[in-house]
Amino acid sequence: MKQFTYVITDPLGIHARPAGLLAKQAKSYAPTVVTISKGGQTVKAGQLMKLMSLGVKGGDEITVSADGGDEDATLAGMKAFLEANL
Amino acid sequence: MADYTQLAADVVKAVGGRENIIDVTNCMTRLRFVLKDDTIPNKDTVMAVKGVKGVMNQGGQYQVIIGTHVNEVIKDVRKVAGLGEGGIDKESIKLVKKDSLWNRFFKTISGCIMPMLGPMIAGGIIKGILTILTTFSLLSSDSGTYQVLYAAADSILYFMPIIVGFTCGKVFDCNPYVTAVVGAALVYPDLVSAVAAEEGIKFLGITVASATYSSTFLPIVLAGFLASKLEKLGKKFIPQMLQMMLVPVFVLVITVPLSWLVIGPVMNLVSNALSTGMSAIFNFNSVVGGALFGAFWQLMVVLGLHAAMIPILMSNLLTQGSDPINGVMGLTVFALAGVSLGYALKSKDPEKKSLGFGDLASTLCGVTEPTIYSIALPNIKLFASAWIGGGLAGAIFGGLGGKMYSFAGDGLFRIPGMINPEGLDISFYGFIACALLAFAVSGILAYILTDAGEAPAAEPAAPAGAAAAPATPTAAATKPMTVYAPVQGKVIPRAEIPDPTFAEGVLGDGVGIDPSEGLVVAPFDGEITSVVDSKHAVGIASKDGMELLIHVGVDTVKMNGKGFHTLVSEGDTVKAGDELIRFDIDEIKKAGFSPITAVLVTNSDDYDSLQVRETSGSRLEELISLR
Repeated sequence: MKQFTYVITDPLGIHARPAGLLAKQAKSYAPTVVTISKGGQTVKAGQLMKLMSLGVKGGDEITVSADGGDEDATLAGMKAFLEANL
Repeated sequence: MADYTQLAADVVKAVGGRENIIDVTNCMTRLRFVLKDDTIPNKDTVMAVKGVKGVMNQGGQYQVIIGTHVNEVIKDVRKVAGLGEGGIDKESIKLVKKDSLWNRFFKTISGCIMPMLGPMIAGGIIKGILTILTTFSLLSSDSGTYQVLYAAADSILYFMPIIVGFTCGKVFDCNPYVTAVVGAALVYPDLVSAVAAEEGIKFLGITVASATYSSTFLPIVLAGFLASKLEKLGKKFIPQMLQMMLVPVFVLVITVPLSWLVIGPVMNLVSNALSTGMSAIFNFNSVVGGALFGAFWQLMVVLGLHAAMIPILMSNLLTQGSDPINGVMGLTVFALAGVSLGYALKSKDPEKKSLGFGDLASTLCGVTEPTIYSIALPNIKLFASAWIGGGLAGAIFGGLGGKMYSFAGDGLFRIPGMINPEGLDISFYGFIACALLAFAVSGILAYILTDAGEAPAAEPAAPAGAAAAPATPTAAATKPMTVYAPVQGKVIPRAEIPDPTFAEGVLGDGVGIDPSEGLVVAPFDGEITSVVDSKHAVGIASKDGMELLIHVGVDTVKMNGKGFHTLVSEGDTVKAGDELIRFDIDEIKKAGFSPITAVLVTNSDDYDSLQVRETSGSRLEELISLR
């Protein structure tokens, strides 16, 4: 399992709309499982509701992990997505 | 205001010019053209027009996506296309495609009736039970118990103009409370008795004709249509600030008197002419008369044109001790019963099936309205089945010379009335034979003409555009599930939510609701899975694993919770109908955002199909079903 950390720049955080895009993005790497953790809580990034319930705000630090499959490509893709959208 | 003349001209040209355009309306973001020939426009040409964001050809409409300023653009489009302001009203636009005037008329009618079917059938069933109880002397019709229960059953018919007034207001796209009030004025008890009194009353010197509007819907539909036109007119010249009160004032003071002064007398006139004419025909030739009455009596009742017949029938019975026409009318009920059965047997959808059987029970007990409004009017071919069966049986019974001898109920309860006090004769045997004939002929015709449909999966998703999501079957989705409307207001297809993320279904499939009240309730029993700090969205999951996101407004995250109150927290267990969020619609609008609320099944991919049900916009109506 590989991971990276990222600080959210969008002041509104991961609200419904970006959460949906993020979940979709994360699911597209299947079978690689992408998880996101914040403050000790970890959720699968493909699960929209769980993702929203993390309550990630602007300035929060999250940890993105990839497990199985092509972990490097997945993380690179996730990083690009986060930088572009959040 | 920006100038859209160029855009309008380009779009009109691209869809085939004004000759090809029957009409155009708009929704939130789209121009919706009804074209004579929708193969003329080339999609790429239309797309190439500057200002056009997309093109769709769907549900008989050629839709050109413009954006939220479409309400400005359409004015120019109408000008360029040579169409007047306003045009055909929204409802008829949906129906214009290859429908005859007759069909459009009846579709409008059933649009007004459909939402009230549940209580109407319930009324029929309760009346049936009461009739059985009184027939077997288990309950006296004088007793308070009977009267209270009868009121429960009959109110929907007695006050039908009020309820239809409300639904037709929605169909005609005007304030439904105003049209409901118009309907109420038609059955206002003090006025009804004053008008019916011997001396009558005058309105500005004009005598108000005595007319009965109870149990009728046509007068209120006409009045509602008039009210909708007046409302639009009123909004043009009454200043915005005063519209809330003064538009209804304007509509009511014109519509209510006009309804009493014009609709009532016209109904009386037509009703009198019909009854005189048809009685004359019956006296001249009872076969032809029987056929006419057998076929069209129920239609006359529906149109409220039967009132003038009643005194004739009563006096026949009272003065001559028997009456042939009443016997024929009794047969029409059996024709409708046959239609109910044919419909029930042929329909595959269990809901329609049970509707048919429920209607059958109600009709056999003598209450025909459920069949008429739920089966016959929505599909005029099925009503015609009843006309043919009833007409045939009526002709034979008329020819046999059968008569009715005493007041009796309807349906099966009509049979005792057919007994000649001097002994059983052709009136009795003939009636039974003809009733069976009417039942069989209408039943078989209805069976042939009913569109079997498929099991519910193929039931048409109601609002255009909310197409069923094609999805891969998974183990998670086995039994059908229902999402009830969490918010009151007009339901719009997902694709019309003014936010691309929602509209494109990125967050899942569902619908948008334009809220008329700032309250979100739980759409099913479940657990709150997420509540956002800005309070404008809530996630809820059902026991079976359906996940739903209710997102109030577009971009409302930027309001940081102002105007929103969340009433639950994460992990709460809720029951359908529990309050989740209260919000202030005006506050959202003031902040410059759309209050359109997205209701999305975020894991819709896990289901085979997602159907959006047709609703009248009330909270907790069935909104989405998933399987």
